[in-house]
Amino acid sequence: MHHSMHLVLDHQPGVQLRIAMILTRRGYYMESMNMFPMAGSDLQRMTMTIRGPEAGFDQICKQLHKLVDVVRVDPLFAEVEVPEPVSREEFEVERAV
Amino acid sequence: MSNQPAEKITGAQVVVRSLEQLGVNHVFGYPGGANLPLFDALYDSDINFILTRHEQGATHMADGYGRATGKPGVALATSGPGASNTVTGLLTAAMDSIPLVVLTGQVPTAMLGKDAFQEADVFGMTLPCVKHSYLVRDVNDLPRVMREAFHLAGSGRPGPVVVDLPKDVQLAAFVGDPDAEMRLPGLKQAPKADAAKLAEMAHLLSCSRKPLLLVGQGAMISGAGEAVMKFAEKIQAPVTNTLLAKGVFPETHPLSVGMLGMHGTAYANKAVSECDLIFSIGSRWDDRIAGNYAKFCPDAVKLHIDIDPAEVDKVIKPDVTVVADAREALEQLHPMVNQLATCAWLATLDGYKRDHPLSWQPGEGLQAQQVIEECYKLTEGKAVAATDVGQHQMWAAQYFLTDEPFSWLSSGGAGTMGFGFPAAIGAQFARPDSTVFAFVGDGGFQMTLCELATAAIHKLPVKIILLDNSYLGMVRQWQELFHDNRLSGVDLTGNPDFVALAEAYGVKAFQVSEPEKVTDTLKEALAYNDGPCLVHCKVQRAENVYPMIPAGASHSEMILQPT
Ligand SMILES: Cc1ncc(C[n+]2csc(CCOP(=O)(O)OP(=O)(O)O)c2C)c(N)n1
Repeated sequence: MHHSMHLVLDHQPGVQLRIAMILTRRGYYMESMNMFPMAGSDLQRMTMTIRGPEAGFDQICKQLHKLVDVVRVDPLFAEVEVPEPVSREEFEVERAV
Repeated sequence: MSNQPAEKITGAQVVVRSLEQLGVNHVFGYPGGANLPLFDALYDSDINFILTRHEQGATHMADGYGRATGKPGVALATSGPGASNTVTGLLTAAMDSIPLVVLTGQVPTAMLGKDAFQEADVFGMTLPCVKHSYLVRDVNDLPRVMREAFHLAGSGRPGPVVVDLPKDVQLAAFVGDPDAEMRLPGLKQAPKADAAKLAEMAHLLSCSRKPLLLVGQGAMISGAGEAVMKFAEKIQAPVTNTLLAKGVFPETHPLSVGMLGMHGTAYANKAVSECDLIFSIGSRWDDRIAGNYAKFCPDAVKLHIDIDPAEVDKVIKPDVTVVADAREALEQLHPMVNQLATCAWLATLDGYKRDHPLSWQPGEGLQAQQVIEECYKLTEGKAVAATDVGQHQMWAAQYFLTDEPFSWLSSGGAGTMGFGFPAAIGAQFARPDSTVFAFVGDGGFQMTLCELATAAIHKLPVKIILLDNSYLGMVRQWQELFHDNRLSGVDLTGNPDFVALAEAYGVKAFQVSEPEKVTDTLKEALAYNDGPCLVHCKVQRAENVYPMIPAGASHSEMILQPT
C-alpha cells in the first residue's frame, strides 16, 4: 500500500533521520522524498511517498507529527501515482552513459 | 540586553549559567576528556555536582530525581563510552515519560566523523530513545538550546532530551544573546479539551452502572490527583491504577481497587473484565495492563484522556477520546456528570476484595512479601519507594501501598534492572527529609551496586532492602510456569557476601533470614540515619508472584494461586 503526504519541517540537522526512524521501526519504506525550502523562512516543505501496511498509516502520521522538528503533516488520501519501476535494462543503459 | 557581554565567557560557562537560571540544584555525572571545560565551569558554581560510579547510575539518579519532583533531572557524561553508557537511562526515562536532560561532551566539531578518540555518534545512537536532541555546533546557540531542552523535557508529555556539546563549542568565547528566546516552530501547544467530546463522555458515563476509572502516569504528571479524587467520589466510581500511577489516587481509599495488570490485584482485574465502562485518565493501555487487546473489555465502553495525540487509537480504539491535559480535562468534565447508581457494583467489588485479597502464605523461611509489608507498616507508608525490576518489584507494588503522588519510582515501560538503587539515591537528594526505600533483587542490585560508594560518600540514608532469592526470580517463575520448570540461566548461587560487600563500601549492613526477626531488624535499619544501610534479606528461593495474567491472556484467565 502506498501513501503520500506533505510535511512542513523545521530544517534542523537530523530531521530526515528522525522521520526515517519512525518509518523503519514500523515496517514502512520510503519510496520517494523531495524537499524544497519555503521562501522567507527556515522551514522546508517535504513530499514523501511511503509503502507499508494500511492499518498503521494513521499512527505513522501522528508519530511524525509528534517530532519536535515536524511542524505539519498533511496526508494525501487520494490514490497515489507510483512511478513505474526502472527496469534492469534501463538501469544498465543509464549507468553506461 | 546588549549583544556584547561585559565579561568574556565560554560555552561551558554559558551551559552552567543556564543550568543555574533554570533552577538546577543537582547534576549527576562523570568526567572525561570531552567534558573537561564543563567541569571547570562547575567548579565556580553552587550547583551540587554528584560524582557517580557509572554513567548509567547518573542517568537513573537524574531520572529518580525527576520522578520524585516532577522537574527535569540532569546528568552529565563525556563523549564516546561515557555517552553510550547513558543510553539505558534514556530508554528508561523515555518509556515512562520522565523529564530528564542529559548533557554529553563530544569531540571537537572539526573531528566529527573522523573516528577521533572517544568519538561516538551520540545524536544518532540516542535518537530512538529521546524526546528531542541537539548537537550544538555554534556556541552562540547555547542559551536558546538549553532553554528549549528543559522546556521540552518537562512540558507536554515529558521525556529525555540530549544535548551533545563538542569540546571546541564548550571552549569558544560566547558573543551571542544570553537571553535568546526559544525557537521551536514545531512545538505543539498543549491541546485543550474538546467540549463536544467531553459532553459525549459525560453522557456515556451517566449511562454506566459499572464504571471503572483507570489512572495512569499522565494523571501523575499533570497533577490530577485531587481532580481524580473529587470526580471519583462525586460519581462513586471505583479507581484502579497502573504500576506507574501508584499514588495518584490513594490505594488505601475505599474506592481504590489498587493496581491492575499482569500482577495486579484480583479485584482490579475482575473489575476490568466486568465493568461496563472503563475510563483511562492518562494511561496508554500498555500491554502489561491490557493483556490481550482483542479480549480486553470487549463489551465495555472505553473513554480515554491523553495529552499525546499519538496515543489515540494506538492499541485500543476507545469510543471517545479527549486529547488534553488530564487534570484540566477532568476538571472540565466534573460538573457535567452526577452521581451514578453504582451501589451494587461497589458491593460486588467489595465482595471480590473480601474473597480474593492479596495474600501470601507463610512457608519455610522468610518471604519477600513479609519484608515489604513490614516496611510498609513500620513507616505507615510515609516513604518514597523505589524498586528494581522483577518479582520483588511486583510484590512491592502489591504490598507497599502508595497514597501520595511522586512517591513510587519504578521502571515500568522499559523494565530496567539496575534502576532501583540509583533512582532511590536521586530521590533522596531531591527529598532529603523523606524516608527512601530501594527494594531490589539480588540480580538487578548487582547491575548498579557500585553506587554504594556514591550513597556512602554523601551519607544518604537510603534503606536498601535487598530481597535475595539467589535467582533471577521473575525469569525463573516464567520458566517454571511456561517452560516446564527447565531452569536455564537463572541461578545466582555464588552471590557475594552482601553484608561484607556493603561494609567494604562503608555502608551499614544487616542480615535477616528468620521471619520473626524481620520487624526488629527493620526497626534498627529505620533508626539508622547516618548514611545508607543495606538489609540483606535471605528469602525463599522458589516463591512465585500471584495473581498473574500470563502474557497475551485476557483478564478472565488470571491465575489466582499456585496450582
Ligand atoms: C537490564 C535487564 N536485563 C534483563 C531483564 C530481564 N529480567 C526481568 S526480571 C529479571 C530477574 C530479576 O532478578 P532479581 O533482580 O534477582 O529480582 P527477582 O525477580 O528475583 O525479585 C530479569 C533477568 C531486565 N528486565 N532488565
